[in-house]
Amino acid sequence: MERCAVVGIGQTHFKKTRDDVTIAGLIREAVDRALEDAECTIADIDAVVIGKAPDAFEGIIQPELFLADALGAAGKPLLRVHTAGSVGGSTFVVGAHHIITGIHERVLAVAWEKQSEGNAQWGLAGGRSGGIGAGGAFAPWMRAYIHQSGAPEYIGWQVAVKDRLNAVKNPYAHLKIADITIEKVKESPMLWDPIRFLESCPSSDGACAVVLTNEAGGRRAPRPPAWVEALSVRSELAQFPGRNPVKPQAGVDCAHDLYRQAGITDPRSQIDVAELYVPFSWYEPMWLEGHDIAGPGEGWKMVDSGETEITGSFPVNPSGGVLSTNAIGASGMVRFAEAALQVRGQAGEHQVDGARTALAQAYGGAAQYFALGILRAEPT
Amino acid sequence: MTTTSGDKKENLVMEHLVSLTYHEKLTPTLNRFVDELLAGRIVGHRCPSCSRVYVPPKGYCPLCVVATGPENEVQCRDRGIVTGFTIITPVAYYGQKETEPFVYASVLLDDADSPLGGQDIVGIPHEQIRMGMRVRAVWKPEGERTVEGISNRGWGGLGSVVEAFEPTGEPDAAPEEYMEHIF
Repeated sequence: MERCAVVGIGQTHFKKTRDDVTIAGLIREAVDRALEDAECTIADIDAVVIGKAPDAFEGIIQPELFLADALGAAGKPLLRVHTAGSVGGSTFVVGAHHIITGIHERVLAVAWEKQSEGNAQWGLAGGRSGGIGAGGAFAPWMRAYIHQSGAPEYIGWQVAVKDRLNAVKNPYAHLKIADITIEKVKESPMLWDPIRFLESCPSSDGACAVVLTNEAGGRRAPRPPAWVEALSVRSELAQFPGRNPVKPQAGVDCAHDLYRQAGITDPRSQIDVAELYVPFSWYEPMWLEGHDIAGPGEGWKMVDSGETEITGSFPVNPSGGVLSTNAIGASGMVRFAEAALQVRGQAGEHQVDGARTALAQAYGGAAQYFALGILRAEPT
Repeated sequence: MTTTSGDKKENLVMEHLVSLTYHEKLTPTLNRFVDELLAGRIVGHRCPSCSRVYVPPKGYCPLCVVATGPENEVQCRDRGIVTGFTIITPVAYYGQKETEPFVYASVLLDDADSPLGGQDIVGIPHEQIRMGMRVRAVWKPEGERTVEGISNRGWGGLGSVVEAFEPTGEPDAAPEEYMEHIF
């Protein structure tokens, strides 16, 4: 098995509407930045792996057909990955597998969503009335988490404030709400009870790309690489009797597989920073518990005590997270890219001091797809 | 590098509405379920291996991976427990008819192990709806029942036959009765 190194990272600026570029132009913007970071050109790329959320979200069917040229993939292997909202994470994993297996030396992985091209709510509803949106699907589970854990309702507001203040430090983030307060979140309209407007993610246009290479490529990279220490993907049925959608077994299994590969026995102390897929505020404590970083009913206490702040002992989403930026297909890959930036020491104003080991996580569907990774500053 | 343009140009917008009508052929198992539902009865399949009851029946138990058929059919009472819910504020996407906040609840029928998703709860103010609340079906009059909304992809709906559930007024169920059936 080869080691895999992240040597190029590129993100677009995320906005509500990127009407200055086409989908192809948007993606190329992220790709060009990743190539520039890796100091290579599209000619150096052996294979391209792409991912986006369901086609109905943009209203454009099979975009990979017209994107092959824009991505420089003509004449090269091009694969599209699809695991709903976790697709950006899965796309990173598939790209890395191309390297780890020794099949290719340099792989470009790209994920995007140009939400302004379509209407995700319409897409989720299959074009029919009665659609509930992702928030509606997840709201009963967030309520169940609150019910089971006894968490006070302000925990959700705290996460919303923290992530938006982190986003102010991230030049690529979409929402920049520098004057956000607990009071403002609390007073914002209820969208999907118990989730308020300011506890929800935005709809964004944007893309994220990474250049992945093997150990030799990583060692001669122009900038410090992020080393892919461990990867894991799991899925489960959307619904079955006895399923716990608050803490899906697939998420537990995925995390334990990941920790085992990385030699992590106490994630809370051995991981320096985490980028978790938190599209609605309550998912921060839910994934802290869902991936056994915190014990049952302990996740919200980590939020409450400030542990997940950028200066805390277990910073979560220093980038501002999905709560600040959600180009759906890209969001999973942004988690991996931001985790990689942290261990490369290149996260700028939102850098976590001394980050050497980072956790990246994406989930999708009815919280039924998981893609997790551990990135490190040094290979072990 | 400049990445976003400050120049706003008028985009040409052409409205071209396309209508697609799908006709989905239901599985024999669902056809039987629908016939019974239209007649006012809710049927499910009991897995011969684990005894779990699925409503609507799937024709198999996904946990045991065994087939189920007419010989496994059981009739369920039209009463159950609210296992999870939210109140949705409509965002008014194209084609959405709802204009006011509406309930989206999961109901576990007393005789079933798989919850019904996407149910409406009536007869109680939204803010009083609770997990664990006991409810009974509000059936549409026979002449108004349709099978719209029932599909092979089935998320457990009862189509346009049971229009909602309403509280029975009995004491709430204990959490252990519904926590594994949140959906």
